[in-house]
Amino acid sequence: MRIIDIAIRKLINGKTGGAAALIFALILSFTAFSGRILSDSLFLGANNLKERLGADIAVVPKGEEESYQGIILSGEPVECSIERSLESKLIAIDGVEKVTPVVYLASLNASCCSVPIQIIGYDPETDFVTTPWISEGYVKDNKDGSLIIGYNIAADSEDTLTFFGRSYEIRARLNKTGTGMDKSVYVTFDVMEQLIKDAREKGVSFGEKDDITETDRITDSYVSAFLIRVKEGYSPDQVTGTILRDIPAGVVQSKNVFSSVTEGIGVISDFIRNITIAVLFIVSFVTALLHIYRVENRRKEWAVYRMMGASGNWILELIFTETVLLSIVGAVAGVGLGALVVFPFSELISEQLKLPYLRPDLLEIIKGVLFSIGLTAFSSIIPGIIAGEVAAGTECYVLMREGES
Amino acid sequence: MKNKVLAIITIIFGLLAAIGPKTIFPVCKAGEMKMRCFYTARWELVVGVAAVITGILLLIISKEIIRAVLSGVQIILGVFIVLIPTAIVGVCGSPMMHCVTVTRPALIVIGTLHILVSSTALIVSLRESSGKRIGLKVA
Amino acid sequence: MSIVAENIVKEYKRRGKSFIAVDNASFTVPKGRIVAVTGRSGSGKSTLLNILAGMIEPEKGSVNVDDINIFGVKASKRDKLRAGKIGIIPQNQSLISGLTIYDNIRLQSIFLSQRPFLPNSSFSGMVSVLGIDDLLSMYPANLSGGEMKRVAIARTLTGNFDYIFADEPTGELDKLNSEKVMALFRKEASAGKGVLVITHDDLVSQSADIIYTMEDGRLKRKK
Repeated sequence: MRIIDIAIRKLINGKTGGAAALIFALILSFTAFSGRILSDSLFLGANNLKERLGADIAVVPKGEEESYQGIILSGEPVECSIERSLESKLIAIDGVEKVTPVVYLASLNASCCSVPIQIIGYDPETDFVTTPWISEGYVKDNKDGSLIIGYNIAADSEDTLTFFGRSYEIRARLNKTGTGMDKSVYVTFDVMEQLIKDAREKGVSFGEKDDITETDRITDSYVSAFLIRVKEGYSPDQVTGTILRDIPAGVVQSKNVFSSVTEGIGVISDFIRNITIAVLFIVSFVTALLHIYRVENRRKEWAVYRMMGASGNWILELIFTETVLLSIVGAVAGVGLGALVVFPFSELISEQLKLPYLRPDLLEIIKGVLFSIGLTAFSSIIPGIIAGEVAAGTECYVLMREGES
Repeated sequence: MKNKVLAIITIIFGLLAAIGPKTIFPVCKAGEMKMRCFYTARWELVVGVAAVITGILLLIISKEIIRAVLSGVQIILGVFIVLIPTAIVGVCGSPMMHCVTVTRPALIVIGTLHILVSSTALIVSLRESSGKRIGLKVA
Repeated sequence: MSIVAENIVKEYKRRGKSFIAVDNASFTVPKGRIVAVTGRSGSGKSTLLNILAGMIEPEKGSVNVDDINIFGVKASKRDKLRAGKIGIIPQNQSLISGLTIYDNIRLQSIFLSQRPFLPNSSFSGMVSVLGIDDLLSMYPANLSGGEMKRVAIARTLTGNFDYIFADEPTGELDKLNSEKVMALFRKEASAGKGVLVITHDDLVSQSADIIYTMEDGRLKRKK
C-alpha cells in the first residue's frame, strides 16, 4: 500500500474532511475554464470576422454608416438606397481594384423565424464577398431564383423560404461566422428584383418611387451600398479620402469595424483575466486555511501513523497527496460544470454580448481543460505543504494522553 | 441525511424540467401552428412530474434496494430530460429562437445534473445495502 | 536483551501546581516474559508506558532499549528505534477511517520495510483466534469497541516486533476474548518477545510473569 493508495481510499470514502476545499477548487477551475472558453470564442469570432469582411471599404448612403456595422455584427436588418450610377465613378478612382454593389432589404415576416431578417442582394458578376464563403456540404445547382442562407437561418421542410408571400428555393448555406451574417439571406440581383417588387406591393418601399416604371430593373438605378477592394500598394485611408472628396456618400472602413470589435473583446478578456487571477488568490488563501483546519481535526489519525512508525516526512507526503488529489477532483468537477454552462448556452452568450462568437475546436478545448485543472492543482501545492507541516508536527503521545484521566 | 438531500435535489430538478419550459425558460409562443418546441414542453412536463414523484418516493422509502431502483429510474428520466429537446422531439430550427438559445440548453443542464445527482444516490444506496451487516448494527 | 528503565521521574504542571506522575520508577521488560503494571486510573501507568516507548522524555532517569539509551540520541533516531522494535496497542480506538479492516492491519507493515506483510497461515490463524475474519472487508465505522480493539491487537502482532506494549488490551473485551488475547501474548513471549501490559484487570495481571503495581507514581514489584 503506497501513500497514494491510502489517499485515494480516504478520498473515495469521504474521510479526508476536504469537502469544503474541494468546492473551492471547483470554483477556481470553473472560473478559469469558462473564462478561457469565453475569451477564446470571442477571439475566434473576431478573427473570422476579419477574414469574412472581404471588402476593405464600404460606400453607403450618408448617415447609414452605423447601420452598416449593425448588419455585419448583429444582423440587425437595414434598408437604405444609394444611386447605382456612382458605381462607374468608384471604379475610376485611383487605387480601387474591385467594386461590387449590394442591396439590403428587410423582410416583413419570414416563415422561418419570428423576427424580420436581413436579405442581402449581390451581383454574381462582380461579387467577391459572399460567394467565396459557401459551405461545401450544402450546395445545389445554381437554379434561377434561389437563395443562399446564413448559417443560423432554418429552412422550411421543403428547403424553401417564403418572403412577402412568395416561396424561394434554398441553394446553399454559408459557413458559420459567429457574426450577424449568420442571420442573413443572400440573393442575386434577379431574385432581389422580385423581392423588391413584392415588398412594394406589401407597402415596403425601396428606392425613390416616382422615377421607376414597371418594366425597369430597380437595381439598375438604386442599390444599398458598394463594397470596394483596394489595390495592392494603396492604403484604404488614401482611397477613402478620395471617395469622401469626390462622391456624395458615407464610407466605412472594414478595419474600423474590426477595431471596434477587438476593443470590445479586449475589455471583456481583460475582465476575465483579472477575475481569474483574483479568484486564484482568494481560493489559494481560503484553501490553505481549510486544509489546515481539516488536518487539525485529524490529529488523532496523525498520532496513530506516528505510533506505527511514520516519519514526519511520510505524513507530510500523505497530506500533500490528499490535498492535490482533492484539488484535481474539484478541478475536474469545475471544468464539467463550466462546460455545462458555456457550451449549451453559447448561442445565448453570443446574442447577449453582441460580438462575434465562435466555439473553439476540440484541441483548444482540451488545452483549456488542462489549463484549468493544472492551475487549480498548482494553487493547492503551497496549502498542501503548509497543512502537511502542521500534521507532521503531531507528537504520537497525543494518542496515549487520552488514556489518562 | 445525505439521501434526503439528494432526493430533494432530484425533486427540484424534476420541477424545473416540468414547469421551466412554460415559465422560467419558455419555448416559443404557439400560434395556430404548433412548433416542435411546444411538444417538447409538453413531454418535459410528463417526465418532470415523473421525476418529482420518484423523488418523493426516494424521500420516504428507506429500504436500500428499492432506493437503488428508484435512483436508476431517476437516471433514465434524466436522460429523457436531455434527449427530448435534442433528439426525440427537438426545438425550432433557427438558432435565433428562444427555445434554441435558452430552453434547450437549460434542459440539457438540468437533465445532466439530474443524472449526476441520481447516480450519486444510486452509488450511496448500493454501498449502504452491501455494507449493512446481518444482525444487529452495533453503535 | 531487554528494556531497562532506571530512576524515572516525570513531573507535570497542572493548574500551576507541580504534579509528579512517575516517582523514581525502575524496572525491566525482559525478552521472553510478560510484565504487567497494574494500578488505579490516574496512577501514572500510561505515562510510564509512554516514557518507556520513548515518546515522552522524563525529567530524570534513563531508558535503555537493547543497551541503547534512547534519550541520549536524537529524537528522529529514537523514533526510528521505537518504530522498529516496539509495537504499541493503544488504549483508545486507533484505526484509520476510510480503510478496510484488512488494510488497517497491513498498514503497520508499510513502516517496517524489513518485515513485509505476509498474509500467510500464521496471519489467518491469528485472525481467526481473535474472531475478526468476518470483519476484514468492513470499515472501522461499522465495528464495535471490542472488535476495534481486537483489530488493533492483530495489527500490532503482524509487525513481529521485539517488544509489545499494550495499554488496557482487554478493556472492551469479554472474558473469553480476554483469555484469547492473553494466550496470544503468551505465544509472543514464548517466541522470545518482551510483552508489557498496562492493566487494571486482575485476570490479565495474574497471567503475567512479573507484576508491578503503581500507586501515586510509585512502582512496587509484586511478583
